[in-house]
Amino acid sequence: MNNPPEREIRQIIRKTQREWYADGIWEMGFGGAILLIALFYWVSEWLNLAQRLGMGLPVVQLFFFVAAFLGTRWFIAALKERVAFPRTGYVVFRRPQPRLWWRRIALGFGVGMAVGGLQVIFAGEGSKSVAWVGLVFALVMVFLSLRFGVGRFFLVGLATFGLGMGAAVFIHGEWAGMAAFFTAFGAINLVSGLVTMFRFIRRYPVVPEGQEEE
Amino acid sequence: MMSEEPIRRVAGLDRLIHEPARMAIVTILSTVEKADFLFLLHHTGLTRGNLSAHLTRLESAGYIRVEKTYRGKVPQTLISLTEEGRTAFETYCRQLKAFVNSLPEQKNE
Repeated sequence: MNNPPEREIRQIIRKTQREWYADGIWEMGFGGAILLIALFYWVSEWLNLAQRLGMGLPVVQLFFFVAAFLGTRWFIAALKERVAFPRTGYVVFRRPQPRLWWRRIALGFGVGMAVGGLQVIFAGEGSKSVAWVGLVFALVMVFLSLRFGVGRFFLVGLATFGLGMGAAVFIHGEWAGMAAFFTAFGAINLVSGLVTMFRFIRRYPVVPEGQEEE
Repeated sequence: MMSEEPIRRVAGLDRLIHEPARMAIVTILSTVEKADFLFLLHHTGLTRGNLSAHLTRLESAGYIRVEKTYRGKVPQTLISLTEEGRTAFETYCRQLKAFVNSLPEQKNE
């Protein structure tokens, strides 16, 4: 049944929540964190850490994931302050309970556990785990796309799935496959974020100081 | 014949929030912790004068808090929903839903 006021309220809430992703800054932060993780895999591959650290490597990997996701917080806040707020206004989104940084730690921990778990499950099966890791990240992007109505996340999700499959098929060695996948995935997010940010900057000029007031 | 219940329900809606522009302002503020004047201007599409007038009405009713502050050297007006405003908005949403649910099903023509 049609219900204009109720539907309108839902649309306004969704549009306001979507604002967080409108400037591409979140993707750039996320892409940067993923590239840091890729760097970890490249260094691990280069120094052959898998053999040197043995079972200690997944623990180091877990801490690296958490640190990378926490680092995005500072980056996103700094860029929002310089790029988004002078154009479309200052906003503080409601902090979910538990507080945001706990969520970030949980996110980093969860992703680290998922990736580590898949590596353990598919140990000795070449780079098969890369395909599954690609699928996990692809599903995350598709979920974000549907939850907030951001179409480009769906495309990034599809590309992520393709990258995971590609890395699993064409790159030999699990750590090299992971390194290649995370590099490409991080780069895709970074590029998508950059393009979105430049379009945002072109579309919304900076409101001169003092003019934004009532 | 239609029962009187839906009519009573719609008559009981908070008119201060039910006005479309104010409903948009309150809905946005219910999603965020606080926002400045420019953010509301950008998202509601209202003119400065119009937005200012609606904010004054909501502030008089105690639904919003308007805080004059500075970010660096730039003056800034931060607007947030008060506890009273949040409760009023939740009640409004509940009443609206109850009203819609109490309506008889309409046949598609």
